[in-house]
Amino acid sequence: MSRYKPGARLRSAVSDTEVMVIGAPDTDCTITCGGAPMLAEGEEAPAGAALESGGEGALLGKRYVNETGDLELLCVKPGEGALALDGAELQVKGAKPLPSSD
Amino acid sequence: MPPSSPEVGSPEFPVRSLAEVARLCASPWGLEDYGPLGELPCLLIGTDNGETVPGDPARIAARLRELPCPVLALGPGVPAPLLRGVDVVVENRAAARPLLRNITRHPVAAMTLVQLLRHNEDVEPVQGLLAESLAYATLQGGAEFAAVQAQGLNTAAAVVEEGPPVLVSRRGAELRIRFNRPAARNAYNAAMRDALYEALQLLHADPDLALAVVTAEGACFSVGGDLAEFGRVAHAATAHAIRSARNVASLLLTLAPRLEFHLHSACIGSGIELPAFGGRVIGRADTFVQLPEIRYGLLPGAGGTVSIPRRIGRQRTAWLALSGRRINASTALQWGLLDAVV
Repeated sequence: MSRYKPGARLRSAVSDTEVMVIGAPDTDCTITCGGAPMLAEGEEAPAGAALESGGEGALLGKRYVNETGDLELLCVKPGEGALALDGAELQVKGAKPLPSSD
Repeated sequence: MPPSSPEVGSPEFPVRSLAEVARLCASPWGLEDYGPLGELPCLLIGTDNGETVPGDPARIAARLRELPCPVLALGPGVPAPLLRGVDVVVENRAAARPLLRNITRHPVAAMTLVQLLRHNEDVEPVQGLLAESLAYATLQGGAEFAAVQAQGLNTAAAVVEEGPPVLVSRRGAELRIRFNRPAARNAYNAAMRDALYEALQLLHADPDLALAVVTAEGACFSVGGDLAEFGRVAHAATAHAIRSARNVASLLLTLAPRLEFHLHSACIGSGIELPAFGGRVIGRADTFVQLPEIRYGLLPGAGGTVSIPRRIGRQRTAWLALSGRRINASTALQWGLLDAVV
């Protein structure tokens, strides 16, 4: 369990994925990628961490949020493994497509 | 006289000497025939007889700066203090013709363009972008654009592309942004705009990204706004709201030092307006640049009335936008629109 701060960078323990924390709940929680807790700067991947199968990997430049919207991550490096908060998979937060202004 | 062959010096396009201009500017009624609602769609100043300007040139320039139509100087002999009142300097009378043709066909667009360029020269870039969007909206609601649309501007079916409109990838500290509508010659549509905006937001959010390089897939960099989408927005005010919500130009302005554009072949309309914001713009030798919006009764509306004057100045920007003519890579390099040709 960790408390995440906006601006923090996390990297996956099991893939290339890296995210930046845009917003985080004010409580202890665990952000995972591919089933393994994501690592803060300086943290080492635990031995035996393995990518959980299933789920979509994170896409570069996309934002990911939990259902309540208090967690928001920006993918700054794409990779395999679904992003999740305390076991609940995060969803892509897309900007609303707008029509042409011409 | 048909508008296709404007005759400089004819009753429709009289050439005024510097002394005449000074006299017209001194009178409160001297310039009342000029403008889209008057008899004369632009003011032509002859500069070839080497005369000095009677009166205060700064006051004359200030008066011309308010004229509701383009002010063209025929030849390079305009005294420096008067240049602030001149929108375009052409080499000679013949060189004025392509501009006069467009000005005659779309005098309101021509007036609005030069007014906007004059305004943007005196304000901060973000203020210029706001003014541009408002000016563009004005013309979107105008009779000239409506007439062009009535002739069937967007009858061509939209080209359906495979894959995302913009490819975004990362290698270390470098972001790579690639326009990816090759079958549509990278015509800039709403989906492409939204994807570019998202990529630029990533660059903005991540200070570890030292550089973003923008390139394009296919035969050319971009032919500009997708004509298939022209005139689709119901209200000009809504169009302004959309531009304000997805303000790509403003993000480009902020991120300019970290942006590099690699251009090739056609860079038309937004295809040069957006790159011109970049801190570094490199063109392949076959690059050419064109601002064709005047032909539609519009003006460059993707930030070009800010980005292009920053590189080449107000008068050359006005020449590009009023003539609709192409310039090649070596001219673009010489003018500073490109930083290098490879």
